[in-house]
Amino acid sequence: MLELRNINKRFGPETALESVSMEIGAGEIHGLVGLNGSGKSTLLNILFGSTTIQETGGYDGTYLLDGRVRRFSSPCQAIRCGIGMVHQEFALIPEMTVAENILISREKGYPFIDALFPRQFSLVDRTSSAMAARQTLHRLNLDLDPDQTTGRLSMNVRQFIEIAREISRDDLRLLLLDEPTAILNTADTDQLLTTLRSLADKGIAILFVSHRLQEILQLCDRLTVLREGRVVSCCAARDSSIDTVTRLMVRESVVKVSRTQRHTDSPPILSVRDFRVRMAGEELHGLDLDVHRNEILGIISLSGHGKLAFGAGVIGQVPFCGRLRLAGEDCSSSPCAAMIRKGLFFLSEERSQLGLLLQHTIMDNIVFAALHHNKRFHHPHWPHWLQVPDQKAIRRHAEHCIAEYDIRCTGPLQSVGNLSGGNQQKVRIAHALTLSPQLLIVNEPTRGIDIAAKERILNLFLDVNHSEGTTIVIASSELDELKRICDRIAVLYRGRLHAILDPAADDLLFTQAISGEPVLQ
Amino acid sequence: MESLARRCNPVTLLFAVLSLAALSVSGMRPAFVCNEIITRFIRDGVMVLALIIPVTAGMGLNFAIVVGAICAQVGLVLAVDYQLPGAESLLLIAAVGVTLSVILGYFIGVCLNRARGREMITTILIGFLATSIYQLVFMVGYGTIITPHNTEMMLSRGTGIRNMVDLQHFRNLLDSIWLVHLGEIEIPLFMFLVVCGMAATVKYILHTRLGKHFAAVGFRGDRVELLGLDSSRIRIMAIVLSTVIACLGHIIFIQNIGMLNVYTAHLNTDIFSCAALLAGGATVSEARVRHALIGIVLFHTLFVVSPQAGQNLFGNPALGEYFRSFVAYGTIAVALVCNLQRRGADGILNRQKDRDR
Repeated sequence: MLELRNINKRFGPETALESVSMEIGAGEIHGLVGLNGSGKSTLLNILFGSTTIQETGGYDGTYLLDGRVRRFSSPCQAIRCGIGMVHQEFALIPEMTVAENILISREKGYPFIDALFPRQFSLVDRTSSAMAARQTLHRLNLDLDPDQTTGRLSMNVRQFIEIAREISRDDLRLLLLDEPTAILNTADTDQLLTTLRSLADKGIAILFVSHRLQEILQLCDRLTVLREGRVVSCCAARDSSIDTVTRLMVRESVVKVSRTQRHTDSPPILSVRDFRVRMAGEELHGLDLDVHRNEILGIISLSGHGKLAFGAGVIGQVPFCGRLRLAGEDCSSSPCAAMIRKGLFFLSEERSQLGLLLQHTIMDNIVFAALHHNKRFHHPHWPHWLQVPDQKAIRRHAEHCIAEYDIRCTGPLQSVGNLSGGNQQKVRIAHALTLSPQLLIVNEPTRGIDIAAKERILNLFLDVNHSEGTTIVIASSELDELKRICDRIAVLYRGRLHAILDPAADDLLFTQAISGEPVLQ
Repeated sequence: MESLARRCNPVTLLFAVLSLAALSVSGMRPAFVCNEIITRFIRDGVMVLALIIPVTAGMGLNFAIVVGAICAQVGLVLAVDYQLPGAESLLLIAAVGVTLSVILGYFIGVCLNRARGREMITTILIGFLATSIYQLVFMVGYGTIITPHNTEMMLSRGTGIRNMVDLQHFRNLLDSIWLVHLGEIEIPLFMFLVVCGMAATVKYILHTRLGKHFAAVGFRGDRVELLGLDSSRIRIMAIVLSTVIACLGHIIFIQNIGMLNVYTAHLNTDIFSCAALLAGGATVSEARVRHALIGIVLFHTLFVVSPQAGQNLFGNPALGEYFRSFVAYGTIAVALVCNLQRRGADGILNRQKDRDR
């Protein structure tokens, strides 16, 4: 159904794709894997007719859909040809309701008015739209009021809405999925994979991009491996194993970081009592938790059970009730800026929205908080109260960070918006560590990041914990990673602390704890 | 009660308090004020409604409604030139005005698509430019390139139209239909219904498919392309609709006044309409029909009573006159500042993205 022949794409002097050819048949689920920067996103952009491709000079090669040559100049044209795409960063409109988002540009009208007026000028029927949206959500096993505002829902629910929007289309022929499972937990992922399989059985072709090789091998019929813009392998999924695929993706071998756990009896640096955070979709209902100085604490829960709310509440991004003591001092009503000055820093899971100044340079992003809160990088010759930044020192520091954290970029003056997800995450971590905080809370540090960058980021946490004694709290849904680097893992259930487990504990024990069954410690 | 306080816009509240205070100081008879407000509600109502669609589509206040007003005036001058009787002239004016405003609205839309993120300042400048071109055409073009049929409306030197054109066939043509008297209060019921009908139409448009797309573009102009909506086209539609409604509004305005101030009648329509809309509680990113209706009443109450209030307080009506423009510009400034404060970091980020595109 879809056939690509010798696709070449250059961004200025850089080659993003080099003679990429692939084929997807109707009803086939095709996996696409590769490290960050291997050209997956570029390929998806070409398939979906993204305007950035046109603006950067188009591409060479033939793109055939049902045997006809296509060259889309905007996503509208691709959509008209039956192509749908689930975007990693979501193309939802947070201010609109769930039903409006799912049925956007396919709103249900009243038949009578539809006959009377041109399509664009006929009234939207809210009840039947809501009904249609509800039906689609049911197909994804999601029971949700379609009239609520999308922006207030948690990330995993939004991911399902994003998928629902595409599968509600009757004319869907080819579905492109960009990291749809990156923010989903195991149960939700299984649900999604089942739905995708049933879609494929109806004859829809699916291109599935994911960093999770397990899923790719489980779900896909065939898979294509990209490395540095080239197809290095295209094979049937059942003939491959995680090992072989990994070796194809990465040239150098990836060493998984891990360390031995320690037990610290040091006094708590942060303790919360009866901690309640009303973060939509991720509420905490009375958490009691101590974070010890110099430890790495993992927090895990199913999505919607509150692991993401901890950091947001502690830093003050979302208001909370209850008591919070930081280094023995009561900080129950401090604003964000005060918390940062007290040596706390938080990296939210919303990378681009809440963590980066996308238009600004890498340099500006790295020193931002240190410049504004720690009074570092002020020009030595000017009076301090003028707060004149010392550009030379900033540049030196940025260059140091780029080398130290292996940020792949053209230089400290590149704008952060142009970096890939993994490198953006590294910039954020550099930003946080420039502050040299005593306590760093990170939500989902490795979401949507390839295996090589992932290990590097985890390694960074271990390093800084070891060398500077920074206490780190990581809220993540990746149990495997938490087990490798944490000293203790707190399991939350329904917004409360359910258990604190040793990372060496059995996987089964964790699964039980996460799903709320009583655990003997 | 708490939710009511939260929903109440500070600008609207300020207006209500000022209006009531000025009303009590002026000592004007309520019936007179009421009549004045009804007249002005009809006169300016549709013009204010013209602003709602572009605000919904995320383009801010469309100061280029002046262009719509100019289109209406072109129609009016032609009608006077051909000396048509009342009803026929109305048809001609509407036909010429609407056609012109569709064409010019399209061009404004194209301009605004190139100036994403800076729509408001762009529309102000487009308004200035259109005014200059319009004045040039009627001051110099008429009598030289364009041959006039009605010499009465020409200046004695033979080129250029008089400053003031009398619209005798046309004066209060519509206002006199279904005139209802309630004691001292006079209500031109037909025109009142026309304005309400226009309000209903705008509300209807906002609830159609197109209306939903306007809202989508307004919320996230950078993402809707991914959803298969053509944001440029939708924005052009918004501006075209706005210009057409403004044109119709200005026709109502002129027939109510009964005289055409050829070179100046359209000036300030944009500022006063925007001020009225903002006074009703709208912001630069959100406007509803009810904001427009409340705003017209509040803004024009203050407008009517402030000169007399100035006279009574300071013994100087000029001060009240001065107060009028102070009120108009003050509202816009206050509303813009309030609006910027409310806009989260997220909104600013989006605008930046828009700007970079």
